[in-house]
Amino acid sequence: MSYFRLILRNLFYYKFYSLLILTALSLGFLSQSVLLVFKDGISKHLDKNAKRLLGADLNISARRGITEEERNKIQNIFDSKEIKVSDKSETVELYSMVSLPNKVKQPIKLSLIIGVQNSYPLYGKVQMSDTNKNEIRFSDLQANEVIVSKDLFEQLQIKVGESLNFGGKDFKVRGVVQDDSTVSWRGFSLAPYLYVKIDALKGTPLLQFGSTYWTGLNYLFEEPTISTEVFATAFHESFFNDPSIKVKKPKESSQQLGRVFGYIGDYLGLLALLCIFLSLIGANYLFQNFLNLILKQVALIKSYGLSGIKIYAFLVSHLIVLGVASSLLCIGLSWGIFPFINSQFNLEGLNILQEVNLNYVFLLTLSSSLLLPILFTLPVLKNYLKFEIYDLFNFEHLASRISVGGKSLNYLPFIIIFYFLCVFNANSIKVGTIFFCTFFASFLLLYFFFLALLKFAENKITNSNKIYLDQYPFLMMGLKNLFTYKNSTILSILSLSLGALIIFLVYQIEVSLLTEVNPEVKNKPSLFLFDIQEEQIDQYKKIIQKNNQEIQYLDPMIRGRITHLNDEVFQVEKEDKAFKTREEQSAERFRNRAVNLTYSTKLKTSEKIVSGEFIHEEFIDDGERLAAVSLERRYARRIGAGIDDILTFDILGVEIKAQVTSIRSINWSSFHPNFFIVFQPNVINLAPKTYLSTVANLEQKDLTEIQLNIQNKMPNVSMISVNELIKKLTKNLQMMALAIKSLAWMCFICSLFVLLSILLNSLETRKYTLGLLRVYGLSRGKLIYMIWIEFLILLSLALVSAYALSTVVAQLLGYFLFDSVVTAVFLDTLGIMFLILVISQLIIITGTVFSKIFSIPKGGLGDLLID
Amino acid sequence: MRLIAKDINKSFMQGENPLEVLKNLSFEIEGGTNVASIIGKSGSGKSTLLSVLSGIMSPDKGELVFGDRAKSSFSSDQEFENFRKNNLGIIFQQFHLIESLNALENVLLPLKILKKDDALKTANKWMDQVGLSERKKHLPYQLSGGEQQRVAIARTMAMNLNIIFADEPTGNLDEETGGQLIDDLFKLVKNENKLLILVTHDKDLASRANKRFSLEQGQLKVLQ
Repeated sequence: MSYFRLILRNLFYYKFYSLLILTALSLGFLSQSVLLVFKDGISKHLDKNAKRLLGADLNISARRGITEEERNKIQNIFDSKEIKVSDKSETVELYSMVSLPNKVKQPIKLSLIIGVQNSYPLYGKVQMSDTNKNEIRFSDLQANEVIVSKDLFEQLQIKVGESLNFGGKDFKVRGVVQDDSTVSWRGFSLAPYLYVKIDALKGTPLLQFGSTYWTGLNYLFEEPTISTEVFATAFHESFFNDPSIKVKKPKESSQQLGRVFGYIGDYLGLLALLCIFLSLIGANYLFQNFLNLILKQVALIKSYGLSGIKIYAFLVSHLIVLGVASSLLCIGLSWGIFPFINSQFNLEGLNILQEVNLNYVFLLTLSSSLLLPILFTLPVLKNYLKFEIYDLFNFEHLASRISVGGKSLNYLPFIIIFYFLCVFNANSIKVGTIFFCTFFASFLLLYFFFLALLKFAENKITNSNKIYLDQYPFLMMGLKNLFTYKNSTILSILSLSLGALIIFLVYQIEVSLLTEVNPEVKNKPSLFLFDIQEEQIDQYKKIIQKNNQEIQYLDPMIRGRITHLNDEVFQVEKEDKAFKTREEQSAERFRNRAVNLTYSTKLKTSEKIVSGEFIHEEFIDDGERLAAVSLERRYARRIGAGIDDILTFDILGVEIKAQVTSIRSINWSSFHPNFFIVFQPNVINLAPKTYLSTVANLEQKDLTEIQLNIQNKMPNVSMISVNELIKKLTKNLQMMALAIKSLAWMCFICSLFVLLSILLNSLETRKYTLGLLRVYGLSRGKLIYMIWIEFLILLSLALVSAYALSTVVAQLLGYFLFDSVVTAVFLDTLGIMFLILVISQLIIITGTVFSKIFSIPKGGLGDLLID
Repeated sequence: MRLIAKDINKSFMQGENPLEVLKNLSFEIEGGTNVASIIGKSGSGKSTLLSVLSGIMSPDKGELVFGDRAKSSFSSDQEFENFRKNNLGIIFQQFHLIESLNALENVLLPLKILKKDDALKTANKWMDQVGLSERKKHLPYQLSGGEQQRVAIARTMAMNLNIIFADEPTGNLDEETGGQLIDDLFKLVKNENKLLILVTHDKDLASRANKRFSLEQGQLKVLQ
């Protein structure tokens, strides 16, 4: 019989353990394969549809108008590089309030207004139709007509032919967008949109100085592949000194869109690694039980003279067969899961399964589900190889003598591969390394903490003069077993803690964030306004006063750019590298970005000084001191600036130097108009500016009235109803939370598998003891009770530590990420704790009842006696 | 206590064929006997016989009588189980001490399971009886083989059972330790007036019993 057939026979003969190992591996690697499918599917979709998403071979954009001079410069590049443009179109996009002038109860919505020309889009298609399903083209659109997106159509409850108003003008709704390749699948946009002719949009007061709008010039080339690159290079040289105007290639556009999903995928990828880790612990225990069952074969083939390496290969082959089966199962299950994922995350427009590169996903899943279990079980397998033949024949007691783990050094190959997986899944060396180090450091720290705790308790009980077993026999039996099998005890606690920790953590953060963004919270603004012009301030104040309300904050906003940090050039030149880590991409975007600046003499309630001193006085230029500037904590960390550092700003061509005197933390969920950079007053006051403002504590009636008044009198001003924004954010937050929660529960299921594996291993190892207790007359019920008590202690320890850890981690995350204190939600998590406890107990009791320990008395004393 | 076995049959399925281990096995050990021995080669069915006699395994056919009470006269399995755990005990060749418990606790645990009064006092008394007063707090791995078997004996004796089955009790011990241990065990059962049934392949040991049997081809032959 060939070894392969023997392996298959073994797997089929010991199908109970084979199936359990297969399930453990599949559970662990399922989330990994789902994420691989998700990430690869999206990236392929974006690559394939990059030109459709950009709508052109090349796009030049600016967060302002593009001047005639700049247009000429662009034309010069085309001429000098002999680039043939086959078509072009211009777009202008801005956010504005849209209302219905002819309705008594007027709904008013912040919307994205897209001004287009007839040729839009140059790639892809926007399908539009009227009520009678007649197709409409942009060339059919009149200057006073708009086409609205489906969601705006529904939110405004408008009909085709009715009027809507924005920028102080009325427009007639000509039709509704049915399908749009350029904006389809913008999962997280905050506002619905409408199309209008670009000239009509330019005729409104929405495009004045200080207004926030984006201009785009789109081009179609006769030879797109060469021309796009040639133009982009020439453009960078020509506009090097002006980062406010950018060129975007189709690939960059798709990258931008993919970034949001990329980040979600990356972080979920790290959770998937936890699932893998837990499933490996479970599979390791189960595999050891399996090995104990085939120990006779190992002894026999060793006695036949098979070398150690061949025996190793023989044993590992069992795992390889199971690994291949589990990766096939994972890929299959991923396919089954995706329709559900698509529906949950509003990705109906995207058929991930059609886009995904199956070979790539399969290869990665297969290699990780083969490599990781093999490396993880390496130390255990080494234990089986080091026994002599005569040792191996002492089957009954050998199994219990083989330890579950092995020398720490033997885990090194696994740890190295796991590290690379962390970096690969996080798509970031920094995040991957931080995760890896935190994970292993915490794991080791907790391991030694629990080891010390168990040893302390053991010493206390052992050295006590009291015989506790006399008073609490079952509790003591449970405790003593936990002391004896410390490794398994600690691994069970850690696995369960890890599973429960993530659930608690997600829950705590979700509850806290939802509480934080709760619109009922005091001082939370009701209305957020931006793009208020300087000359509109008086009028704005009057409108608010007329409604008997008060302005909560009114802050000037000036656009500028940091050029130097302590005389070092701050901006970075764009590099066209094939692979950029998230950090490189982020740094490139971040450093070249214009920043919003403000000036103020006082701090807001949502701000706190964490270091330095906030300067409350106005700046007096005495020629000796520089102006003071305050930086937001994380922003300062990101740009590498600290107290006393000197920043040089370029504000509309004027160079201004300022010294950092304070670092602030901001509670961003306050929805106050907050800025990364706050100047001391009397430095940038004269720069052209717009204003941001908030009004708090508005009833719905006042809110609508103020919005309508402002829209009528100051049509260029955009307003966000904070309540509506919170609703949208909450929806997105809950969508993200759903993804994380799904993986967190997956982790928990994996940890339950560890629990089951350790239980089965423990029962197998202790079968003589348990049999003995049965001989002494311990009833089935009492035996289950004894094991239950033992695992109850273990579970309680796991849950308490999971809750304590999750609270600490939540507070740390709250402090470092959200700049707020995460609310402790012990009572809310009690339900989850109870659920976890019940599920775990059911696993323990079911596992015990169905294990073969009860067969000992029925089957005689064969295991206890030597015939 | 008297022990009678009448026409005991026990077979197991080996593949599709039944393997008869005990065939119409009958014997009687009269009341007042302190030590009986059953000698048999490896594979002769000693474990099966011990399992059947100690009530852990039911025979396919036949009757067992413990004292005046026939097994068939018990109204339920539970009633017999109660009788078994209070009257029949086993000392194993491998000692089978519970690794996580110290010596005293190993003796104490079955008494707690049986809910005996003064369990701790009894356990302490028997630890002293087997000469391990100073080793009570030691874990099994800290004890020698002989000491471990003494703990196992104390554990069984402490339960105050009427019939004690001993499966090669000295099989894992050297000659000197084994000899000493057997002397002590014989003394204890005599003092306590119990019936000890030794199952062994050691002819010398078997010869020290008041009554001797040999297990051959599934049947017991009286040697004395």
